[in-house]
Amino acid sequence: MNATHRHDRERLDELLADEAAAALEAADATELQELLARHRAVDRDQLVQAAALAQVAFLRRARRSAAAPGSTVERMPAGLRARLERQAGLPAARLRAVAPLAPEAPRPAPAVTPSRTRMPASAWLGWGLAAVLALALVLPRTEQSGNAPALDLAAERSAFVTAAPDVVVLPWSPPASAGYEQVTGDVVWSEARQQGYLRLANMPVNDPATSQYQLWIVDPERDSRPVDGGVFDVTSSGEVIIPIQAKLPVRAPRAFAITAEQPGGVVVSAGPLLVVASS
Amino acid sequence: MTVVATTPATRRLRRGPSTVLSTTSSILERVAAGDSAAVSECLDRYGDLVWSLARRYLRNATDAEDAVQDIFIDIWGSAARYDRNIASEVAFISTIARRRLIDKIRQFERRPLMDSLDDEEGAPIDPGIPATAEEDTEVTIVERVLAEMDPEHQKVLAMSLYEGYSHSEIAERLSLPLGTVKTRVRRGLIHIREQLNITAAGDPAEELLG
Repeated sequence: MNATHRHDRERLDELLADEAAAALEAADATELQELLARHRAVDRDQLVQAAALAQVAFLRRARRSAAAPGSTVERMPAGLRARLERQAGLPAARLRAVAPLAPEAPRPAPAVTPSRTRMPASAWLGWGLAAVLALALVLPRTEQSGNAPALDLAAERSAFVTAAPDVVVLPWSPPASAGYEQVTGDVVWSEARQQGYLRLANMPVNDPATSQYQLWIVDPERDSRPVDGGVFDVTSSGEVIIPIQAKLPVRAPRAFAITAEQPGGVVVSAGPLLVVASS
Repeated sequence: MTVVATTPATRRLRRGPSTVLSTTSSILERVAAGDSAAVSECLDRYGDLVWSLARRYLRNATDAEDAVQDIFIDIWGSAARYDRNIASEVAFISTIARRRLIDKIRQFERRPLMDSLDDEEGAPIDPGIPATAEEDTEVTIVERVLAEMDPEHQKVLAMSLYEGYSHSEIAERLSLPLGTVKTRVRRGLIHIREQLNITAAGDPAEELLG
């Protein structure tokens, strides 16, 4: 090992330790990525695992040192547990089908010391695509139909736009994928209500037997991964209104994107993003 | 314990299958295989642990619930990657939890302000750590490493990893130069990693445990 290589490895260890301690400076994040690119054999999780096990060891020590009389046990709330069981409650066949599609969990971006700097929407879109490609959510999916009582949905949407105090309207914006350039319409979303609608005109009709559309919500304030917005069909050529069914709370969506997937949707998408609406 | 040879660059804690696990699928392996009962077992065994970890960092219950939900979704989705020869389930799960909590800290743009180990009052938290010998091995190793550490270094590590203080907060509270805090945390973590590797590779006691 030459001196430069040794120096690189030592510096890489320092930065990975900072990352594991949630103390990586924003200014060091780029250097960490560069060093990781030069040392691909380095296991990035080792020091996070060391930190995680130390955290568990400290927790256990705290438990031991706590006075037994009157001590209370902090248990996961029953409601949270019920939600988790529902979310994992995929039929066994689907779980088995899904598992091989997730060979590698997505590498999280380096954990940096909090910064006020916000990424532009375009950057999140790029990242969002990568996240979609590697998405490993295992969630039950509720199918929606673009054939649904369109007039009722249009009326619902109008009433929603009028009544919700914080509605944001994001038009579908070019460039769209080939075959989707003519798509028009918008996305309306209310954070307060956690509710929204897609309006799509000229969206190519899909055959539900072979593929379905799936919505993804990019919300960097909530999570580094996009939120599954549900699976839906477009079975008529006119304007369709699709209610958004976010599977997790959404705080400040920066973009909405649609992919075409196998019937029932996927947990690991190969993309591409067909149409995108971004702030 | 069987030791799997690895190159230095990729060496990590490697575990041989124990006599118990070699005939029984782990919870995560069964989750990956679509066994719905394993989901409940996973929550039974690790739910309180993950909840406790989240509560240490996120005192707001809603934020903690949000984080735990994300963590378990990640665990379900990553279960197929779990390799019992590399790490125990508690190591796998707590590592995912730590990654996600670090993400949350960054998103919320704030750090937790925790009670110190010395000042803990009120209701103690039971972390719900699994008590099986298999799961205990790595945590026990780390406990021993921490116990053997210089108390001043151990204090810095506890404030960083357990109490969630930033390096600059630790420096201020302990009246230490910032560089000293950084160095102690880095060296502490690297030392723990080395001890985990060394123990797995050559500790006679581990051979007996396996």
